Amino acid sequence: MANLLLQDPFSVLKEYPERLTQTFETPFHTCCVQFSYAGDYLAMGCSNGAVMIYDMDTTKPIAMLGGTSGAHVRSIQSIAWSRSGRYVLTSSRDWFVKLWDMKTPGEPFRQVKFGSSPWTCQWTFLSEWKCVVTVYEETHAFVVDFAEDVPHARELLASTELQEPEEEGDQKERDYGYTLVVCSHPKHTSVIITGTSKGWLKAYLVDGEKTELVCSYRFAPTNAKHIIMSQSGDRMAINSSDRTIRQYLVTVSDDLKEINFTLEHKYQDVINKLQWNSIFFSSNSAEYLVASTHGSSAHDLYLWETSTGTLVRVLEGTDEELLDIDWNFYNMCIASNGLETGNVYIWSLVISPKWSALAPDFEEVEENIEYREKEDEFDQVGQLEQQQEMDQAEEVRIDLRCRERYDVRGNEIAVDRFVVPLDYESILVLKNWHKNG
Amino acid sequence: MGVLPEWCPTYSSRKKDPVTGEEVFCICKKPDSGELMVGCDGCDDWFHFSCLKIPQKFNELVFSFFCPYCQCGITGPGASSGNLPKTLWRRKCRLPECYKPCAENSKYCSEDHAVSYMCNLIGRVESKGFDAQDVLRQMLQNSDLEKFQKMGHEGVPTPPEGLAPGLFEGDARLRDLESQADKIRTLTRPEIEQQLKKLEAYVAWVKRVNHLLFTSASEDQDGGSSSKNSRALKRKKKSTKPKSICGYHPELRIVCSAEEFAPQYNESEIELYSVCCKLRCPRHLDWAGIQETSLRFQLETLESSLERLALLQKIREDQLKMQVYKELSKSKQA
Amino acid sequence: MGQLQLNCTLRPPGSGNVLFTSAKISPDGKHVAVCEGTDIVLYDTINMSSTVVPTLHSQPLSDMCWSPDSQCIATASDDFTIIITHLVFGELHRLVGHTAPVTSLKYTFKGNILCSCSMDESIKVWDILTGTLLRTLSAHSEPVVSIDIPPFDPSILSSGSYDGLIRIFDTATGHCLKTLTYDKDWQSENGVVPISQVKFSQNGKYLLVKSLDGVLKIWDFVRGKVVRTFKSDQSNSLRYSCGIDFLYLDDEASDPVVISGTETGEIICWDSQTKQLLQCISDKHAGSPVMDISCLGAQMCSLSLNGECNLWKWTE
Repeated sequence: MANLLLQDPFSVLKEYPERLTQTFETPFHTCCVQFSYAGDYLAMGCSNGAVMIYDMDTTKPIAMLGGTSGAHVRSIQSIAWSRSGRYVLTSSRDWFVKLWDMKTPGEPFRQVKFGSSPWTCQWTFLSEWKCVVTVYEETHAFVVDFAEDVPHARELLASTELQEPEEEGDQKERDYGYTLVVCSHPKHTSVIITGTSKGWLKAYLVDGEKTELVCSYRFAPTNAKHIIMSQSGDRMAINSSDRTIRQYLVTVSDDLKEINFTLEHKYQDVINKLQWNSIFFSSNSAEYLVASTHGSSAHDLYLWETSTGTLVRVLEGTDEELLDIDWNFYNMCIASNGLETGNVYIWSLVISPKWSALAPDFEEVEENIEYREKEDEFDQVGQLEQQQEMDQAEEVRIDLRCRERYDVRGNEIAVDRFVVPLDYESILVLKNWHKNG
Repeated sequence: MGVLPEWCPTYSSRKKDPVTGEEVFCICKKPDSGELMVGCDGCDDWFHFSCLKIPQKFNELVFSFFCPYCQCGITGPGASSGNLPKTLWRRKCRLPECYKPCAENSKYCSEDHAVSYMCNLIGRVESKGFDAQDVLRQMLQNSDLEKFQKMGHEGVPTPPEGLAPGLFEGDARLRDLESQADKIRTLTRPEIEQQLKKLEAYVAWVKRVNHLLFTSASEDQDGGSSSKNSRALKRKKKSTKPKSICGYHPELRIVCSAEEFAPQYNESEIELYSVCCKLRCPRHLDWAGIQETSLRFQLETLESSLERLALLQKIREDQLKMQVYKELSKSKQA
Repeated sequence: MGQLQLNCTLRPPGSGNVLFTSAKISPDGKHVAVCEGTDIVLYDTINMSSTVVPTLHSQPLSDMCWSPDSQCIATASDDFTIIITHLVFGELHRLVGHTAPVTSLKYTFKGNILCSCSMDESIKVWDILTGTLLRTLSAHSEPVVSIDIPPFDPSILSSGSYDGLIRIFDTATGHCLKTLTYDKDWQSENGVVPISQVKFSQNGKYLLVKSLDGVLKIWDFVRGKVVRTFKSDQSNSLRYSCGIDFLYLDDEASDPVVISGTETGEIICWDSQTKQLLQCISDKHAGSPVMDISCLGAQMCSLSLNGECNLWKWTE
């Protein structure tokens, strides 16, 4: 965005937010948050099943899902925006995973009901309409295809897994436990990795209807709580119940048949021995990892440098325990919700005004500089020469049409971003409610 | 402390010109030149209208005046109490060009101005074929004061059919709003009510099954529905907290009567006719509650949708009426 | 290169003393809206029928802006207020806050923020959903008469003022990011040249600026350099902020056309790349200042102070 070109480059290019700049005092208790891909909107899932969309320009709510039929009736477990910003997935403890078209947010576009409460739902890179869902007390995750009016959910399991227990009879050598978390590989789009309640990672290769279990790896005898992958797909982090975040280097062989996890760092709170509530990577190759801590005594987000594993920053400013985290790289904001109040906190970059911008020929200097006249400073420049110079500038080709492809932070901006339509009818109804009794 | 407006110099307590010894006033610290001034109720100094940027025509509208220094607490009552006084104005006559204050219980300074204001108004609303005086006479003839005062309270009046034939019938948006409301009334709402009934029937069935399975004999007899089967079971089940099976069925289908179902129950089976028979079932926890809340919530939202649609229809109708009146007055001008 | 050809005359010159200052093609191309006194007159571009949409302004309108979804029109009035009118349901909001006539309006592409500028020297940013003021930007010392926001980039806002300065603001913080002016203006003895119009290129990288000496310039505003200069009215005493716009043809390879209305009723077209004069139309608008130029694709709408409104099409 063009404002970044005109601001102090050193401030603009800082790699993580520094200050708590905003608190959204939401009308309902927020339990999860997610930014739309380009950071235009923030979706908040609430404990009563409501889902609110805030506009980040006005920092006010702009839409509420399910205005005509209700969103969910139990607490929201997870939210996922589609890349274009047009569709939103929500999973809730009312057993539903719903897909919303932001063009008509009044009622769900499509929905699927599970036999129990889903944990998380996420978009995959398999195809436009496919997402993965993990469900309470289910051994396998589900791949849901929303392409049809009645979405189709099938278990994510390889044929080999189906036979295994039969062959070995009752004594299961490998009890993986329930599948709790899942993520898809951003570069190798057919690879999906799941994490289970017994500390197993399982990587699947999905090719149409065929699913293959490429590798399984036990990272620790514990419950997996989160699994995240960097945008580049090289790094992965697992948050688990043993109070540890494990960071892995992920390498995938060319034929995708072999996936290796190399442990890079373990993050633990050595003193307080706290659990981590949620984790998130910074953009591209994930140079930073941010986490929220469990327990009423901790109110901060911790930020580590992933290459060295050192803590570089503690994001402070709140008075309560923080739960979910989302980090947007377009507006360089981190959002997190508080456990007690359900408020949403936003950390961002603070760029101070440049006073020299108020006059065209001012220049800001770090400290006082003794004035020395430059050799040619007051030379009379011939009018002719000056004119020539200006004429030359007018000969250079200019492009008044093509948009810039990337912003200064390296985010792609030439993509079309879906605009949530304004609900004029609601504005009118609110305004006229009293007037017309 | 308040903030002085940008144009106001900082306070000076000077009362005399140091050179001429003349008494000086106002924020400009100049002697009285006969120019229009106003006395401050806070510090008893006098101020020029022009210095304070108050138009002279507001002369009669001042109710109680406080100078900038008193308004921000440098002088006057605000300096000690901290409650900053504000200049108060009288309401001006409704006629735009008149700057006299309103008479008591009136929006006008005088009866004359009331009449000319109304004449003005009528001049604006008249339409072709009608004489302004006629309209006024008709209005006054056919209505008493009460009616006259109520004019416009019921929203925009509907223009006579002759002036705007088929005003509402031909409007696509009105038809759309109507059909939305219709759909809710005839389709969506009955459907959800149906689902709710089904759920209630099923929940009742599960209750009955649980009753047959686990309720102790005494209660059973009170219920007056003791049967062989339940009597057979009652020996086994005796606990203070009544046990119950989960009872969840994905389609809420009642496969057989509770009396038939109960004897087939066997503690080791976790499912019977797709009905979940677990005693403690965390997986389906609160399934009935969730479904009931969801359906009731949907009914509630539908009700408010209907109210909303009715209101939108009214707003659209008002807008159509306004456009008709506007077109009429325009064609009159042309 | 092609030329503008008259498609139709939407309305002939008015006979009354109503002054016409703004006419805009809707983003969906279905309507042209013209400000007439305190009303909006909507012309259907297909069957040419017209509808009057009244506003509750008490003073004439000076500018208007279509919402990006073509459902609403915001109007700026001399009565210091802005009214947003929904074309189906009527008034949505009245935005009160300016302390002098409002001169120009612009929506961001998301349609939930409206920016306005006024003779009171300030720029205000409004939230459309609630109808409330988000922030006030005050950094000019004379009336601000024109503002623009690049399509697809709501992060910046440009303003042109009678103080001769063009400023670029950060919309989110209200900070001034850049000031553009001609060096010669600071040296000149007869004071600054007031700016009358600012308009971003489609990609938001350049800014077309017109000043009251009749000169148009295209600025590379990031580097603070003028990259093209065009001259229209040759006068030092212009009074009206006559319209300007870029006309973009569908052909991706073509350069946009710069179109400018003059105070003597002409419409001038230049090639933005070569600065070549492509067309000068002087047989319309009867010598009345061309107050608004509004382009959408190959379509162009021109409006003069006397109320004549023409619809043109660029043809090769």
